[in-house]
Amino acid sequence: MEKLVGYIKSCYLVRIFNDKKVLFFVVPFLFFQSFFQLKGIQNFPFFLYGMYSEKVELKKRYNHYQVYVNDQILSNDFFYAYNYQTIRAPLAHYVQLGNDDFISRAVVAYNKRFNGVLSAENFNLFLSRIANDAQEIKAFEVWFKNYLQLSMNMEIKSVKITAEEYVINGANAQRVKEEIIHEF
Amino acid sequence: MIDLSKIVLRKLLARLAFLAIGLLLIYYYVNHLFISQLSNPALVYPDLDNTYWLFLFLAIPQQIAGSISLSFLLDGSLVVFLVLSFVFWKKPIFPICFLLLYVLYFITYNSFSCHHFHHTGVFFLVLPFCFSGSAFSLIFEFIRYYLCFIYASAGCYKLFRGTIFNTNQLVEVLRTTHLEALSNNELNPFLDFLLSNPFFSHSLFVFAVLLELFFLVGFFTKKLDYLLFIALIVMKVSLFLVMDFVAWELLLLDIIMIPSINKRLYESQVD
Repeated sequence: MEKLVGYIKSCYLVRIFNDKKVLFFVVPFLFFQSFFQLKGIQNFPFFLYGMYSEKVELKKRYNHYQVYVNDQILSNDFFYAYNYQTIRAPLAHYVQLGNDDFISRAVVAYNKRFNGVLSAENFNLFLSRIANDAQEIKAFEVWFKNYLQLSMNMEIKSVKITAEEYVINGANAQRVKEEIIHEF
Repeated sequence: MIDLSKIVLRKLLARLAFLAIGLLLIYYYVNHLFISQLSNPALVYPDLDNTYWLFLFLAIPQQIAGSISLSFLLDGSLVVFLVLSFVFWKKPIFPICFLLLYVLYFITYNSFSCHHFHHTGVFFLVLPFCFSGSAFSLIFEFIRYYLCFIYASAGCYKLFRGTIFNTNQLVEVLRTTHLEALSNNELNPFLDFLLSNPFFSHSLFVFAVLLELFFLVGFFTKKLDYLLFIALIVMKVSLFLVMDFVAWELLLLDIIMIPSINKRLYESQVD
């Protein structure tokens, strides 16, 4: 019995009851983390750590956006991984926005949540802060060249993005379709 | 239980943590990842995260990224408070300021890099140093549990979603991740081997999931922390070999495991 009491007293969640500062931090943190975990959504700093846990099956065809800079393929050989991510991710977002008429899934969710809830003035103000308009899409093209220029330390004259489709067999990829979708 | 607050070791841990974060900031600088180096990005990416929405509604990331002086101020302050946290390791005020600035940096960077990275290692590594007295060691211990949670939950997701039994999982992830290298015939021999040998790929995947599930042990005992410490490094090296990517911030969190590994060393330093 004494051993059991000693064990319970040594448990972390019991020990923190003696320290209010820690208690006020840990308990709400655990509550929100569990809540978001159960809901399956993440809000900083409460993350879900799946780490490639979503089940995926082999596809027949694979889509890829090839980027040509000054008519040369942009490959990750030029960059460290983080830098390359900061180049590829905005580009993917840019292509996606073009495909979806500039409507991101955040905008769809915003309309669903706040349309009719906020006044028209506030609704449009907040929408403009989370959405990208045609002007910003144009500004992206200038920014992309600038950032690439800084990262690669060379003059960027042209950028071309092609949508490609591949069929993969073992470690061989065969291109079956190629289409230029953006040039700037 | 070792009381980290009473021992000289807080100094060692603070120095180690802030030195590692300093190296990470140098890496950010070399990679052009400071906000001032993003040179006024155009596209915003809130995704479905309410915290990002709140910051963007208040136009905080837009103001910082859109202004040269503000972005320099944020980047400069990050470095200054990092140095102050390193030098004045006893005072929680400097890590608190650093943490607040880092959150601002993190949300601004992710909003404009168009990808919400899960690189929370710095955030959780600095957190204990924002507390003094016995609260420091209790929060330190909490972060240790959080580290176990990160990997154990990743393992559990793979188990409960049945991903661990999907023989094509790693091959498909590799195909998607390295499609660019595949299309340009730039695949390295190891990845070439993995893609051509699905059985070996799947075995490697199962091994990685088992390593993740091993972190469940961390909730019941601290005696095996040295193995968890090694497991985390093994996972990060494997991730680098297989995915060509290292989440340095999560690797930094490994520092949290050091006190329970060097228990004897710490006990000998108790005042």
